[in-house]
Amino acid sequence: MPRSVGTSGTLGRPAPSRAWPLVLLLALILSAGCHRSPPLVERQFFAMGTLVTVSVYGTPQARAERAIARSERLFDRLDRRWHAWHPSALTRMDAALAAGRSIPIPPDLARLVREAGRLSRLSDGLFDPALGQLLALWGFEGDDLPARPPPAASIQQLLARHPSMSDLVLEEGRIRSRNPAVRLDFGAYAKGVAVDRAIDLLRSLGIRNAIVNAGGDLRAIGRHGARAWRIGIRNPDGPGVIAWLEVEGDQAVFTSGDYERYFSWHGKRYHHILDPRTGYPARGSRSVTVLAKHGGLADAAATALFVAGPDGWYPIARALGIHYVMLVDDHGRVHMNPRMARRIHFPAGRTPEVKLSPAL
Amino acid sequence: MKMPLRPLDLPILLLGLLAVVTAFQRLGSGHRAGAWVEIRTAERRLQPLPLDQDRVLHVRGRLGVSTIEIHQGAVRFLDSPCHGKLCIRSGWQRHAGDFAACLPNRVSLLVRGPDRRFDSINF
Repeated sequence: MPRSVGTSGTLGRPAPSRAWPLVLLLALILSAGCHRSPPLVERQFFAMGTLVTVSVYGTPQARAERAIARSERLFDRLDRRWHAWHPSALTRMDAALAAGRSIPIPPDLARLVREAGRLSRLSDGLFDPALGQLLALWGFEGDDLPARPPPAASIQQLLARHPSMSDLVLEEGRIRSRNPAVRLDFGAYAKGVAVDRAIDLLRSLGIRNAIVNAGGDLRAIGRHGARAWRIGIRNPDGPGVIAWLEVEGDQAVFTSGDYERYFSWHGKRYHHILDPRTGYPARGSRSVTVLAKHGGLADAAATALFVAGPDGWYPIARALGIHYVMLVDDHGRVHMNPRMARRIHFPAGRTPEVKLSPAL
Repeated sequence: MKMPLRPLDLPILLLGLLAVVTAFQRLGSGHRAGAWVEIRTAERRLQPLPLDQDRVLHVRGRLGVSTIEIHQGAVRFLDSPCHGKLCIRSGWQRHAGDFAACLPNRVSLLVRGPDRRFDSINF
């Protein structure tokens, strides 16, 4: 008579053998769980002229993959609408503004123009997306890098025309410009808004723990299982990280650095973050890291504070309502407000000279 | 039929559970000894390659061919048809989570492996 589990006890079998069927059953349950829900699903794709990485934690793989694929399509769609030099809804609008025409403005572009205009005013014009012509003059509007700086006279001629966001007039669903030198380039803002939109999309699909990182600028929601997300901040002077911090809940971490897009000419480096006051690459900062609730705000603020530099960032951060700032100056010194200093960790043995500002 | 638990049943059950969970964590995470690199172009993701086998690869991107070198546990762009060459200047990538990209040519590389220190890099 074959022995069954039920009969083994009565036959006086050793007690431990009775536990194994139960262990096997639990193993099957656990293995099924493991296949359905790998902890981290991470995918990369090219969009908006950069590399986007989306990480999703704690969601079944197939669902996470579908959500990431939808976020990729969202980035592609926004890129086609907001691209500053490939044909897009924005370039069509720019052409009309340059010709002095008043045209209907689509709702998504109206929101971008309004919010970017507000941030430009608050930053005292240090963040100014109306300077698309200056970026084009330098050759930073293009898929590759320029070979040399433009003639100084061309820069001065353009600055003398004072293109600015305040030249734009939005009324009754239409837009016009009082200054034909205005050309919109949302390169320092649209990526942040796209990251926000991608996070909104992931949330609407039931994703609770994720990071959307577009070319190094990111927003993180939720956490990585039992711990917070760990974010490394790249060292502007070489490989590795200069610092790291933990993020959980919902926070955008954006950095503007002079190492992202630059070229060298006659031994001098020229990077892509232009100072609207001089028309030349801003000097004094190597990188500025900003934490904020939204990517759009963090993106614009990181640019404005980079331009403001180590001596001017504090009042601009206050005006923009930013509570976390870390600026690395061109001597390698780190400038931070106290609240940011409490969040930042430096790698062991590599603590730089730190200059603390008053509270923000 | 009722089976009373004996003193050794519970510890054995717990040990069994621990062994099963540990085994599936190791298998489920996909980690093997050493790191590997995922190379991606605008159109496709190439088969992952281990970083402990030296080789040089030629990957066709949007502008032309990017040359990628794997050597002694690290990977880098050796050459690329872009003008700026920022991908080459970004140097060797060796830790899990490190990545480099030639944006004009739409070729990227991402190191994966068990020693990941950060979930995301901000720059």
